[in-house]
Amino acid sequence: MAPASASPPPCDRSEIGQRGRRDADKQDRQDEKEQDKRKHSEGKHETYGPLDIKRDVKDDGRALILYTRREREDK
Amino acid sequence: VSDQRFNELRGEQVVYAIHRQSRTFLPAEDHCPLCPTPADPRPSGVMETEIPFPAFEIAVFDNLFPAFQAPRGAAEVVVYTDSHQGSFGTLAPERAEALMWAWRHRYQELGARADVRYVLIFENRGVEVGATLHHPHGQIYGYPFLPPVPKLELAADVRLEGCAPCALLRRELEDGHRVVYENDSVVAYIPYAARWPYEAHLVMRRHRPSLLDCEAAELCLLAECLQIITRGYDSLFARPFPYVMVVHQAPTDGRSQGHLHVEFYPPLRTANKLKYLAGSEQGAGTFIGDTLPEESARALREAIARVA
Repeated sequence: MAPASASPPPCDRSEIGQRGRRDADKQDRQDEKEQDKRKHSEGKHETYGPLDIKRDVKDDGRALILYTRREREDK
Repeated sequence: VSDQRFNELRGEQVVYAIHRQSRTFLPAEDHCPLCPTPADPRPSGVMETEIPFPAFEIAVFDNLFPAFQAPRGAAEVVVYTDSHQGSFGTLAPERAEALMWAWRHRYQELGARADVRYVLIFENRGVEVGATLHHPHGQIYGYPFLPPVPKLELAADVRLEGCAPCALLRRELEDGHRVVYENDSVVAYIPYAARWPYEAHLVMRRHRPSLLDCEAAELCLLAECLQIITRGYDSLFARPFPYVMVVHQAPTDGRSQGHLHVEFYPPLRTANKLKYLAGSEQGAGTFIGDTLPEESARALREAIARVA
């Protein structure tokens, strides 16, 4: 027998095909990316949600990103 | 550098990344490139790995053997843990939740790039599906074009006159026979017309085009559901269960919609028999199933009950 389930809330179909919102989102993300770059170049502490981010560049030029939870699992 | 050609007969792009032929293939643990690099002074003969640190939680780096790379896309490796053993299902819950945030961050950064139109987060687990490294990890491709599968999903939205995953989720919940697990944010089920014997779809209850649209609690519950399903898979035949896991999200072309869900394509049809893509599947594009989705769902529910 399947587990009891509740119906999901109705989907907002008005969002389907809305170019404007996605364009705006993309611009926002590009702005955030530029801000992130500046943060990195300034050597500032970078965070994302519950994560600390450490950016590195490998010897061959490839990017390496280390993500660490701010609340460590061993606490 | 990869080459891209358009296959006219299929109407699809084919990517040639011939440098991948020489990629690392099933190395022994002491040569694993995804393990941490021992602290200095390193024992003689011990080389630096892809992650030149003695410990880490989650690491993401540009693939040494990329199918795509800037300025035409991206290919990244996501290492779930610095432990060589284990799997996504055996990660500490906090680590699995952190991985959702790392995925979200990569979707955001790669999706903002002008040369990336679609971000695909995926994991190939097991040699049966082509994994070449045992260390728990996944990958991310940033496609410079919209691939066929997300195109089909957008076409399904048009056919169903709205969000297709929302509509299909409603149908599955109303029927109930194929639901294998659910929490407040995510429902997992074997779809009505599954192509693989134990194919599972994990669908966000609310309409969330991508990880970026999820609240923190939803990411936590997505991680929980993913771990329940992968542990259930391992319990199903009492063996590590190979699968391809793919995160489906909105294209990042700035105009398309989507509905965040995760699809698993496991190749096993029994404990020791594989479902092959043979004549009908490859030649006609029609899957022939050996099991009914309702029976697979019942077996997977029982397997999940043993580990949940």
